Amino acid sequence: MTLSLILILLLPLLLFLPIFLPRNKTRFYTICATLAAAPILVLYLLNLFFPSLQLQERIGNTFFVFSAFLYANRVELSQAEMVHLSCNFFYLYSYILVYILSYIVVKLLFIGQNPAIQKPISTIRKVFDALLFFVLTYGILFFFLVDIRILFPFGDGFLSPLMNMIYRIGR
Amino acid sequence: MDGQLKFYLLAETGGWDCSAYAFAYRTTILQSDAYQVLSLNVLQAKKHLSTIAQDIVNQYENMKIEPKTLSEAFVLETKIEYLALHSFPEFYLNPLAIDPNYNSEVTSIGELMFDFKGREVPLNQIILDDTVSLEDKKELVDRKLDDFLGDMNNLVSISIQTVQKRAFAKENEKNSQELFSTLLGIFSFVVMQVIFFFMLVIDNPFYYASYYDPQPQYVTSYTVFMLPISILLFDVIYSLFHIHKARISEPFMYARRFLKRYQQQVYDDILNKKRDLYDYICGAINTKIILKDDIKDFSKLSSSYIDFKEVINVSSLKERKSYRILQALTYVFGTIAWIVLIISLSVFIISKAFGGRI
Repeated sequence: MTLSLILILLLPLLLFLPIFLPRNKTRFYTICATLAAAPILVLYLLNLFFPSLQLQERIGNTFFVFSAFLYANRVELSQAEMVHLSCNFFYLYSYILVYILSYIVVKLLFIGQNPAIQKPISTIRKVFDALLFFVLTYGILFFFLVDIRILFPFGDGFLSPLMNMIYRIGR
Repeated sequence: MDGQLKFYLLAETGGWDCSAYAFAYRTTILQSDAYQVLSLNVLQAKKHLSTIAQDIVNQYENMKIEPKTLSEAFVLETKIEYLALHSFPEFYLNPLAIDPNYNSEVTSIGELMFDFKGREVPLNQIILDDTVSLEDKKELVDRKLDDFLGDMNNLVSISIQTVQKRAFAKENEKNSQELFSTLLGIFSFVVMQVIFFFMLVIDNPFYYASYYDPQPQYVTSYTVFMLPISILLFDVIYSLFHIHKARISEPFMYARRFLKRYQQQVYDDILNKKRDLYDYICGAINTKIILKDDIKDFSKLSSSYIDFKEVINVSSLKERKSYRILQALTYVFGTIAWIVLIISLSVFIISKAFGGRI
């Protein structure tokens, strides 16, 4: 069992959903996922392009208590790694919270398109819809699991070089 | 009824007991051409949602072919002949409520039967008739179209009532109960993933030692592999069930969302279609051109707004074999996953508490 294997097994689950779900359902989930992912992506990109802001450290330190119970007693983790983990758990909590709130709001407002009207939809449009859903769900999950993989009891597996590009353990 | 039976009928009115003849006549009624035709036509009429069609079906199904007197036999025979005649599509089709997949002998609105001078005649015959003024013809058509409109509006009302209930709620189940069941299922799914995730991230070297050195005498050697496999299988089945459920209920769910907000728009759309149909028929009346191949041109059953047929037939969704199979598999794999999870969690906690493999 490795993290790469887990990620590969999860891939078809989240890839087949937008392909086989009705269009309205896919759009609904994509809207919720977009709203949930937006704040995280903004913070992530700000941290990437403006490292002087030290956003990740500030968020990690501020929200340390909300996830410290998972790894505070792990002596092998450095302070920087714990702050990094704390920041990523904050991203997770905020994604879930915003997703739930978006779900409730969009459920009240969303109607969608009449499925009885069989308008020909271009393949490019279908691929785009599926890709967007996939990126906003599996993509977010992928990055999260890679960033916190130091907590897992198994190794990285064959995707280790990619994972190290995203986050190298020990830095 | 032949002359002899009519004589017995007369005798019955005079007080004679002729019930034996009524009972014997039952077989004649059942073997009559009218009854055979009615039995066959009702199968087609059942597929149409118009009030007249459903009325004929209901009358047929509620008909008691057990005449106790000759009077009852006479009434029954007349009723069967009437229903047999009116069980043909020309008598019950509503051009505003034609199934888009309808494919039968009636191909034009001109073949539909209208009440004209005390008789039922095809519309095309009325169009070609020279004995009645154009205005009278148009008034007659308008009255009939009002009936069609009322019928279609009735379908919309039934649809609006139907969408008040959730798609997969049982007959006597409230919406809140079905919603609770659904949310419980989702909650169960999410909690399982969360517990599994926490078991991965919380440090327990004794539990995960079995990944690298599985020993048959330790329970952890089994749970550490069984748990992810059972959860993965449950995730796959749950996803398949959710996808299938979403696909089969999508027309209904869309209609539900739409009708909650745009009811008046639907009624207005049907009214506009009725006006279009009236103008179309009046054009034919003015020019004395018979109508051809247009039976589906004015249907609003599966409109740009919603598919009423899918809405009214929603109760059949949960009877589908595929739905029931996937639902059963979800329950089975979910139960197995939960049992394995509880055992694994117990072993995890115990191994962490006592600092050793179990």
